Amino acid sequence: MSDSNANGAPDGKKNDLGGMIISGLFILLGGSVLQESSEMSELESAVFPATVVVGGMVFAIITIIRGASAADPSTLNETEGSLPRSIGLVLTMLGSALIIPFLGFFVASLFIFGGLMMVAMFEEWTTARKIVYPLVGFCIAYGMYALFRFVLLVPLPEFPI
Amino acid sequence: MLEYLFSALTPLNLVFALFGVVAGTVIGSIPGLTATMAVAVLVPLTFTLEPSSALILMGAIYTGAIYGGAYSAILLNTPGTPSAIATTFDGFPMAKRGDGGLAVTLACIASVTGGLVGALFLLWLAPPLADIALAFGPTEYFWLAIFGLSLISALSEGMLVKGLMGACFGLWLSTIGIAEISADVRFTFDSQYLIGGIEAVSALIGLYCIPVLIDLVRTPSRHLELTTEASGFRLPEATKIAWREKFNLIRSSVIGTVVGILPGAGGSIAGLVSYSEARRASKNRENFGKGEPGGLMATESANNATVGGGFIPTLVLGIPGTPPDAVILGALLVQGVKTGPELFTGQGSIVFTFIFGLFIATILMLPVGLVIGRYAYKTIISVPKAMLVPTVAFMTVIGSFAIRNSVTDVVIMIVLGAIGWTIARFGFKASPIVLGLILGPIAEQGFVQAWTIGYATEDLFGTFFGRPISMAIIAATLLSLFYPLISARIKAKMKRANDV
Repeated sequence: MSDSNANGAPDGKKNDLGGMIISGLFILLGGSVLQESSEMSELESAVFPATVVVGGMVFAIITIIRGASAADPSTLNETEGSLPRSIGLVLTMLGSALIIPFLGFFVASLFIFGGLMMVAMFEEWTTARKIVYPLVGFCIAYGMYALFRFVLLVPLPEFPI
Repeated sequence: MLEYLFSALTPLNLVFALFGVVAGTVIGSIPGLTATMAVAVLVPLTFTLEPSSALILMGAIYTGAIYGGAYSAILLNTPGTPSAIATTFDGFPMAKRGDGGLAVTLACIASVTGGLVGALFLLWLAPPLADIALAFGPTEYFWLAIFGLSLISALSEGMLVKGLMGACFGLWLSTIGIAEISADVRFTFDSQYLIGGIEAVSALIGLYCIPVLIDLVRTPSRHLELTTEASGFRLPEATKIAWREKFNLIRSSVIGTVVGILPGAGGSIAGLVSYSEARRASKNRENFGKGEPGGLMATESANNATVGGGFIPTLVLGIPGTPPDAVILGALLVQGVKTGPELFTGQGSIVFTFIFGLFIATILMLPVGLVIGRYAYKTIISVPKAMLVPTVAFMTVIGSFAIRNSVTDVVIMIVLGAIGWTIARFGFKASPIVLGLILGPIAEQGFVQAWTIGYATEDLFGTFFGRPISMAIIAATLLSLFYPLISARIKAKMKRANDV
């Protein structure tokens, strides 16, 4: 009887596939860094990053070996919750950041509040909430904008007129 | 010294100290929002302040957040911050038997005591350490950076190799852009947006805050359940207990300070060590884990003592003792303040004003902890997710932008946050990456200078490994790397003891 499961790991343990993939990506990155380091004219510029990535690649190889032999159990947290909402949060923030140069910081902050209110809303949109939440969001956004723009004198981009 | 005390007592600094303690306590009381996040979110507010005022504000936020973690630990059996892990052992049993109000008051008194002891050590031990640090050369600074990275072992319990890999990634990230020594443009992938490099504070805001936001929007369940507790401070009763536990309080505060000085430790380890020692020394050791006030006070005094202790290596050596110190260090770099021995000799007014400010903030924690924090806690956890998430997200965006007025920094912050959340699910934590980013420039400068010296003298090995101070730091690094083993033994010991 084999003591291994379908993944080739001892029964009751799973390969750390995610850790192995991330380690593999790090090795690829390390190879690219070493390639660029070898082409640098100044040795002082290359020696530290090259040393660091070599160290990282060694740890990545150890992670792959341990992951493949299931010496490190899989640390993957079971998926719980809404993936679309997670992606929605990141995309809303990214989109808002990217429109800052075109629409100004305050407009972008309204997008953040509007978008993320919808992403994070799990309750019913009652009439009161439809009025109160955007109003409070507007006040917070403008309050923080005013604090940074007029009190802390941070040159936040303005809406192009 | 009196002039520094008066500088710390200006109305503006008092307002900053009070605001910092209030904000830190509120944020720290919410599980998931750690002291690191409290400092990271509010750190942009300090960019335009005087360095000493900025330090007072950040120190107050930090110390408030460490204390705030006790609220949910006591009332919900959920540590608000990792430092409050051991607070749950006796705090929650006290709350279950109806002594929640008393437990909160005891935690407040213990936190204030620990914070004051830590600040006293900072005042007394920091200057001598600064003198010693003046004897350090490039090699020693390189090894000090590596010593700082040994914090990874404490942050990566059971996943040390992944932690070390993350640190290497962070160190590499710190080399992107124009090299400090040779001015070469490195690893920009021909993108003009990366020439300025990865801004460390933006990166750590993303790595710490974005994963929390992602987790918040994933499920409809409340982040915290509301708990109604019998009100009343029971201050006289708590004062009597605190006096009875005075030796426990002082011992735990000293343990917390010493553990805080060591890069590689932190509030959670300090709390566990002091809890174990308090139990060992107590006559009522059989009551530990069942609602013994001595256990609660040992933990809370120790974790707040790490604040002052952690500032010693941060300010004197430029090595963050804990993750919040790393954030504060990054903020100081943005301000143009160079930590290290020069800070004490050339900019003594900044650092001593800050130390006295830390005393004031710690004392202010008593009324704040007893009055404001209790009610703010209920208010904050009542805020619906649909308001909490956009507000925190907005603060991360405006904070990242404000550092260099750069949209690129905001985008990098968000992308790194998403990467941090993804890799965390596979056992790669954000803290080692952040430490690599923060310590990278120090490590590179020391490494390249030492390497150049060693190459010129044809003694590379001797340059890196042959100097007495370097050898001592290497030994300390190895000791620090073994901390998780010691910690695991203590935990196992305590678990066995609690099971009995």
